[in-house]
Amino acid sequence: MTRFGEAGVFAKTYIPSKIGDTFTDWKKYLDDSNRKILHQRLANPMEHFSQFPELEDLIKCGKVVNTWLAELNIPAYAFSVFQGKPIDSKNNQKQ
Amino acid sequence: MHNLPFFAACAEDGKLNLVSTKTFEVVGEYDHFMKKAWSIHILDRKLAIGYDEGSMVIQIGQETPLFSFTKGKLILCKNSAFFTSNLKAVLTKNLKDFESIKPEQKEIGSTDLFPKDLQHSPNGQYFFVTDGTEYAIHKAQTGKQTTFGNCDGIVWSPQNNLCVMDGNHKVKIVSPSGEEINSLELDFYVEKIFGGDLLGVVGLDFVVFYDYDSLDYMGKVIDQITDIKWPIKQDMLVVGTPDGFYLLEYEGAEEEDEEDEEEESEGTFRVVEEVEDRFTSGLWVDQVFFFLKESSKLCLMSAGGPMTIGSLPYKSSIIGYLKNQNLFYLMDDKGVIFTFAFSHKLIKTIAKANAMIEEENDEGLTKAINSFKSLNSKDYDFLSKILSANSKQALAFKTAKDNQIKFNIALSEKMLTEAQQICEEMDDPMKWKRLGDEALLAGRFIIAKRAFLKGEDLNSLLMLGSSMGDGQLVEYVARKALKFQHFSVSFCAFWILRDLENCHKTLINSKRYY
Repeated sequence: MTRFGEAGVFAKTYIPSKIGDTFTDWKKYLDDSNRKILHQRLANPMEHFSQFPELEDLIKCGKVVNTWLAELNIPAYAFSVFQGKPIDSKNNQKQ
Repeated sequence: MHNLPFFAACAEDGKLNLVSTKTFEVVGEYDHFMKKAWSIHILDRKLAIGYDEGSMVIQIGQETPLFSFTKGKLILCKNSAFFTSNLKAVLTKNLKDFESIKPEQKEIGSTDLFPKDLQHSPNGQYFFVTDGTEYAIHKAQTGKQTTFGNCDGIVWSPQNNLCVMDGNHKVKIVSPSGEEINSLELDFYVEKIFGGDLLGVVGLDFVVFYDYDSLDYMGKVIDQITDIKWPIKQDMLVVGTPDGFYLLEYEGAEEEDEEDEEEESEGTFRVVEEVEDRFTSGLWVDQVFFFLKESSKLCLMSAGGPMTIGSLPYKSSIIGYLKNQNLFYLMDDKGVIFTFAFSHKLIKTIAKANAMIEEENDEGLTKAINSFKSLNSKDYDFLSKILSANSKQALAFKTAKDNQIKFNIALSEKMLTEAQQICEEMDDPMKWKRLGDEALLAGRFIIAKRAFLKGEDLNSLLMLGSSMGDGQLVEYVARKALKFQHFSVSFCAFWILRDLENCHKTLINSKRYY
């Protein structure tokens, strides 16, 4: 059992820039394990931009969001603030 | 018959006769109501008879030889001949537990009776044999018969006199030379009598105790009694019943008070311990009662209840204990004698510890344990077991020498710092894991973290790291898990860290190993 499928969905959701890499790895794996038919059926979206019109935007968005999130660096205890509750003083100290 | 002083005969009258080879009297006549008997065969002690309407196999007697043991001298009775052995002369060097030994045996005579019981006098000079209706007294040294008589039951008194049950309402005290000293008439049906510190006369569902000299009434225990065991000069006794046994403390002679006899008599004995397990064979060594359970486990009575000290390979009975050899002698049902080592020093310590636990004297208990320094480490571990059974965990921890035992006690008592120390010494991943779980339960996170790190329990570490907000720990888990190919843990850890690249990498990497 491999997890390329999961990796692909994960990449599409969170790091669209990795979609291409996932498919390259996947195809290489199928090639290595002699599964020609599956290999032929699998299309790397990065090589077929015309078939996936939203892909380009997706990759751009992903880059922007990920850089933005990385810069923000929100601590975990901020969740309670988000929920509208006061910050637990004990937790605060630990952080 | 093979080994037995009988011959067996059957005939067309359908009866089986057993005839004594010594007196040529018919000693047994049996009719199994299966018409004419045609054939008979014998194998050991099994007798097979072929009748018109079927066949039958009978077991005659038991294969276990009768024996009595006193002061190192063993008397065995095999097929009405007596053999003595001196177990003190047995070479005990390099003797293994349960290894069969063959002490030298000397034949010292025989008896006309078909023996059912054999017992040494307390001073070891005489022994009696009885077949249930008659008894004979022999000298232990020479085997010479000194006297004989009729009896329905017989025991020795501590004064080396005989207590003879004569009929079902009378008990006589007879000296070994045959003179009647005293006698006691009883107004109930006597089933059995038992010797010991006091004469125990067993009725249908009670036992009455009498003094040997004056034959005064000393007390009463109401229960169905199957066995009574007295230690030598201790105010304790064990009373066996069909369902188990009691450890009783004898609180001295009852004052004569005729008004409230019932109540008084119950106050004479105090129940110390009640065990719901029958014993097949029992023995007091000092103040400690040793017994064999029906499951062939050798146990001792400690203040906290029975403790198993060894499991015997065969169904056996205890012959005795020799203090200077530190050995139990046992005999299995084939008559093979074997030994089991148990240190006498340890028995003494246990006795003291029992007494102290009974008095709830913790200081005395510590002293008692500390006063015996030269026990070997196994003995200390055993003591520790007894202590922990009596919920003296702290002392048990100090007493134990084995790290495994110490660790278990420390864990069960939540002595986590001590447990951690032991873990550091032993460095066993399984132990670290157990310590970690316990520490987590107790809320000792620092110990838990160290234990999980040492035990490499990545799942627990992930849980701990994520709940404590310990990013470093989670990252450590993630890398370690990737290395050990625990991809789900690794993924989870990276995910918590929001390390998307590595999450993705983990998923890709998963392929190589599934």
